[in-house]
Amino acid sequence: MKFVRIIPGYNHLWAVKEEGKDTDELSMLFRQWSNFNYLLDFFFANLEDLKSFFKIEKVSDAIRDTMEDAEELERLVLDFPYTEQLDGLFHPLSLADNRAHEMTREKARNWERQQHPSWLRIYAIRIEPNVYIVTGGAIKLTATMQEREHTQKELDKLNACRDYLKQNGVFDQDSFVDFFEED
Amino acid sequence: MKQKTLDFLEAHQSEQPSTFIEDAKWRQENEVWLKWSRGIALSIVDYMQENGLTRSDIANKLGVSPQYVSRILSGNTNFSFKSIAEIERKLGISCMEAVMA
Repeated sequence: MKFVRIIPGYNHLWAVKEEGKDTDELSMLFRQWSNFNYLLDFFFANLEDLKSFFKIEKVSDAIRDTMEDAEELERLVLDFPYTEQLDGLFHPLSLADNRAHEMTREKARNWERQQHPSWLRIYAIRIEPNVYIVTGGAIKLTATMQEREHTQKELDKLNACRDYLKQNGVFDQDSFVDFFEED
Repeated sequence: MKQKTLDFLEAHQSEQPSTFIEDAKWRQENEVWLKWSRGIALSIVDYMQENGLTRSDIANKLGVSPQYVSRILSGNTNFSFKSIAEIERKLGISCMEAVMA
């Protein structure tokens, strides 16, 4: 597993870069969320979740909403590392992660999103206060990550990154709590 | 940040740097015309959903390849007025009104 620094000269925000992929996990997310064809296929495939959880019927509304939200989230990601307040952008993924002290699984979203809660998620491992490694992200339309394959995959990526860091001795303290129900 | 953590990350750093800043800058610099392009694509998406059509169906109606339809629907096509008029005429929709609304 390889990593990239997101903002040159700043050590707070990193992302996983898988071999063979065009770019790192954070850049990939925002490319997807601004890729009309990707969003079109995604929302047609997940139309029932969109209707039942968010009461949105039109795919075009979902695409427009996603692109606007992604623009706002991108600005937040651009601003926060400079302020060293990334802990304000990322929140623990679950109650168990809230209790752990190191290597917690975290999610970021546009917490101030109007109209309805944001469905965009950036997932990361918090390795120290204000220091994060982004492992991926998703459009989350269901209550829990386990309910859909694409969000379950993101949960697996979070766990794989955390395990990799632990196996490589980056952390001394074992604070892992295996509970992954997202709030 | 702990030196030990930083040393680890730098030792495992990809040779290919992040494109996040570069990508974001491009999107911000091109924000205005991208919104127009997306507005046209959104009108086509509404038409597809209302009529239960696929990209191939749209390609048939426009007399183009499905790949070209994917380009139109990419949301970052720099349309000419002529091509917009062709889309409107062949699909019987009004894209520009939605874009300018």
